[in-house]
Amino acid sequence: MVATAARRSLRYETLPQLPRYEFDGAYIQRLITEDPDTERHFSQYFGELLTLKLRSRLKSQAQVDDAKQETFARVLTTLKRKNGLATPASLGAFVNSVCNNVLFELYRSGSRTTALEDDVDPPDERRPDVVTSIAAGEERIRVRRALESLPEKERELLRWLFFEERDKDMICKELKIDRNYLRVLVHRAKARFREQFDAGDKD
Amino acid sequence: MEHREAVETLASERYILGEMSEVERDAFEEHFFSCPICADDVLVGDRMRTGVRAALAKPAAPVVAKRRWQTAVVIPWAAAATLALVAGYQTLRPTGPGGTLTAPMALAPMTLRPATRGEAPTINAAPGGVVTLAIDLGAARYDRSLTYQIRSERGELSGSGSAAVPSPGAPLLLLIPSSVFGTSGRYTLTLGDAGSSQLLEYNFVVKIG
Repeated sequence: MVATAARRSLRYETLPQLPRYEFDGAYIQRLITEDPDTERHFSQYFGELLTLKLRSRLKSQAQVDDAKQETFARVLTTLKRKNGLATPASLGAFVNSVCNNVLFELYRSGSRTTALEDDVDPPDERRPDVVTSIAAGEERIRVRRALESLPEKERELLRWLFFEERDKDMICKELKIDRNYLRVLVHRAKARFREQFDAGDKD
Repeated sequence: MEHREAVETLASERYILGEMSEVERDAFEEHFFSCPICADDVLVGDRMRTGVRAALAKPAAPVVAKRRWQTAVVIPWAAAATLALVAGYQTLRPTGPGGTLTAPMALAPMTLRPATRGEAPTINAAPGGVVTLAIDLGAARYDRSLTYQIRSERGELSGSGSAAVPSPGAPLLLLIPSSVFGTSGRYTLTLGDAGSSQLLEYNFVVKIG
């Protein structure tokens, strides 16, 4: 019941946001003509998504970087060869499917063993190359400030989940909640974190 | 996966929490690579997750206010560490008349953190009473039973014993008769597993009376 009510407010928080990026024919043409700003945006935006995807499947940061670069290379080569995409809006799906192919080939070559441990993957390492160390340092500070500004209960929950990696069922038992409501709590913490992080951007 | 389904099933949160099956994970990735809203949502979640890890990995990072941390953490710990408590009590109980619990007993444990984490706390031990210690194991992970020793400042052994390893994140709870501490003063509790690969040391001051 509580979870259902929370989900209603969740929908309100999430859906009104507008997409930040539009992938259209002009964007793809700029990629094909190697426009530096578009290339930077492309590698940063999809670089983060690819890292997130690859990190749970590959055993080392080097493999993640290799797979990411291979994906970028294949996507750009294909776009140039075909002079675009039939449906420009499907650029994201195309990048994802190329990445799946790269992963599949890696698996077949026997390179895969176990997932990369999260704790050997500090946040600044997953950032694309275009982000300078100064920017990474500033972001770390903003992340830390945003976390510090969360209510203590939320910080404690996040610590249990992501640092101590406690069993989620045990957390639910302690908090007397169900798993779905645990997700709602994470969602709320995330919304507050985003708010604080974005506020830091405006400082 | 459609956007509405992703929102209504809290897909972003489940992805960050690692709760999705492989099939579901693939479907959600397919979606968020094409959906800037979900992509942004999942990246913020990831930034928060890695930020927590990075911040807490450094002891100096004050992510949690210390005073309230102790209050909030100790309460749920108590239930989780009942077994360790019993083991500790049985091992440390001095010879002589001993009672059996016949009614509920409320405990107010004093949290001990590894010696490097601050000043030694002071424990008031009433003569004939007991003190309860919640031993924070920090990031140490043990898979064998724990052994511990309590020594006075002069190095004299006051008590020792073994206990089951508490659940991850839970403390080791020790119930210690005040008589174990002969006199007021500084004591050190050393804790480790059979191999003593991760030896932890806790300093505290006992004040009898």
